[in-house]
Amino acid sequence: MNTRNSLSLMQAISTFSLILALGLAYVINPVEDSLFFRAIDGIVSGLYGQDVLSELNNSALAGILVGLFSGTMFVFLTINKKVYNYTLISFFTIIILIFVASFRSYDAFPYHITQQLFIWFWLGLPIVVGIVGIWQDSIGNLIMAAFLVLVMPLGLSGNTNDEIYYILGFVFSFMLFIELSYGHTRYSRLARVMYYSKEYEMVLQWFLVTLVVTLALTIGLTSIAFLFHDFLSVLLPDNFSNSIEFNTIYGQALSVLVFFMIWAVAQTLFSRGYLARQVED
Amino acid sequence: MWTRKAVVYVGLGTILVLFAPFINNLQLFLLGATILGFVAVHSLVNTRPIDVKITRSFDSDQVFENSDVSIDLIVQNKGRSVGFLEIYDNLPSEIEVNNGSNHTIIRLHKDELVINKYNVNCRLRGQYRLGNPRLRIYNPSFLFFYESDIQSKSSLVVLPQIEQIEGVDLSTDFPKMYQGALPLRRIGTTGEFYGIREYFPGDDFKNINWRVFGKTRKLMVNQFEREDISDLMLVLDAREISGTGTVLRNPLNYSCRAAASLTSFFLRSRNRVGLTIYGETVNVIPPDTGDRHLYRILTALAEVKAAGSLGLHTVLGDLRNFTPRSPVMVISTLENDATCTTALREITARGFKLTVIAPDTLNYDRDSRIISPTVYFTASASLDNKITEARSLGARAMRWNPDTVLSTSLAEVIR
Repeated sequence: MNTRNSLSLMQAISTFSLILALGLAYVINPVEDSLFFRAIDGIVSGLYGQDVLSELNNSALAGILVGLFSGTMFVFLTINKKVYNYTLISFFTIIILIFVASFRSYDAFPYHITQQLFIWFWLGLPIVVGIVGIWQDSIGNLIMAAFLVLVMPLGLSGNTNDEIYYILGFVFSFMLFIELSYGHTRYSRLARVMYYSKEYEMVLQWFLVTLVVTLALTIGLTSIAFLFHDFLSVLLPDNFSNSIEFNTIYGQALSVLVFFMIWAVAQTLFSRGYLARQVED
Repeated sequence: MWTRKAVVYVGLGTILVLFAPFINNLQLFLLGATILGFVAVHSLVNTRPIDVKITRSFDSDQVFENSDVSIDLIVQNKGRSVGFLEIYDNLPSEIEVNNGSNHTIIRLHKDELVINKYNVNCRLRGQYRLGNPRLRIYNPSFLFFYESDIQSKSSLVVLPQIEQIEGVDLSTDFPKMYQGALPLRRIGTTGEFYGIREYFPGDDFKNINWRVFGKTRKLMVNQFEREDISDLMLVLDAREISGTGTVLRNPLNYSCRAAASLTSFFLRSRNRVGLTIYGETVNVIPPDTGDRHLYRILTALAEVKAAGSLGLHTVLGDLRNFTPRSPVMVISTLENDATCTTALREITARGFKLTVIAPDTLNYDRDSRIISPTVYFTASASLDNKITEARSLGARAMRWNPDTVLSTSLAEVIR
């Protein structure tokens, strides 16, 4: 496999991971609970006098498809600056016409369809932004997409251990999306500089292999971090380990943080030992 | 060292772990813990110190300007395997990479040896120090990096470009009559027959080749080989003002090329050539002959830097010991030198056969907008005045446009 193929593969897997992450995020947090969509619902209800979300039903999939379509369209359109400009102008003109028509109570436009498309577009917005970030190497877009994936489905109802598999799937695909898309941005930039190098492909392969291995190790380490909570409960006095605070998610959070703090301290000491050895040489 | 990405990851992970319990969100809590775990795992990947030996080899460590040099950067891994090793070979700005790159990213297995080849073009004379190569190790996800410089310095001498000068008689009217002087394959007034040329008014009638005239009805004169060797002193202006212009195109660089070309030309003709450089100090290389002497002068020219503001009069003391009535060639723009008129008069008064070569980069400086048109006209008029003054003293003086061939310009003055 040559460098270009490896980089394209990274982009493809990253796009797929983004779609999967958003899909799982909507599965874990239903759209009806999302604070973001409640706000949109409020605005749209105010404008049209109609409850939108109740009509959405299971529109998350449609939203993802619309996002995928819009993002891909955007990437293709930006290849030609002129076509892109004309399309953008046409797009905004149509949107403005829809609103003007709505305010003037002109029913020529299919009111429900545009409203539905509007909501779907919002649902798929992280994918639109993410696809542009992945395929055009824009770190700003990647950060925005990651932020939207985390924030848009967020509700106040919380989740339970019943959804653990979906959550694990989300975490894995989210990490894969972030790492592969950011990795692609950096490695493709270096590949342009190293166009003459025959060894560069090996570096890229090393990255891909290491990413898979380290993600697996990360899951292992995170599990150990959670087990550390149980270890602490054995270690700490009963009045502490049996307290309500310790046995809820708050206690788990603190245990995880303590675990990683110990890790950081141990590693710092280890690094210092290394430095000292170097000085002695 | 931590990268910004690592800092953002740790910050985000901690915030998620601390914030998630408030909304009872296991998804964000797990994500935060995983991000922290990811950073923790990656702190162990490709972050330990490495043991790499780097050596550099050239196909030639002494080259002339505008020559290509092939550089091999040999990277030998003596320690652990390295996944991502970025190597940047430090080059002086005057040296340009024209094939391959001095920047490479490789994966090094244990005890592996990798050679990075690249070519550089040495556009400017000088004595350069190459190195030290800079190493940077990144971990695969760009969370941590480690940088260090490897001690591997090499020197590269770029000598001034030598232009072939032919058919220009710049030597003295009073040659040194060494015993056993060798005939030179150059035009002169005595010795063996060299060739014939067209008659010009002023040529001696006795040299007219009447046989050729009889055949062709054209007046042609015989030319003979010259039998002399002489001492010659080149005086080079290396004042700060001579460095005015761009890095590549300034009077000093052109002066050095002219000096190198003249030195090579005269030494080939078995003359003895000396070099006096004035600027910050006065450096004198006494007249001598041979290839080693050529190399000595070329090396001195390679090292010359524009500095100081000593006037031309400072070289008069050293010229006092120079062979009387020998040629002295001053290569200078004579700009901003209040002592130059007096000094030129002194040189001609001592009977030295003076030639002044003034490298003229004013046109280029004006076209490149380094100087304004007003400055150009002032400087140009000033240079013309200096040239006229030198000619009035009996010197052969010329304003040399470096874009033209030196020997052609010289031939115009000597004619």
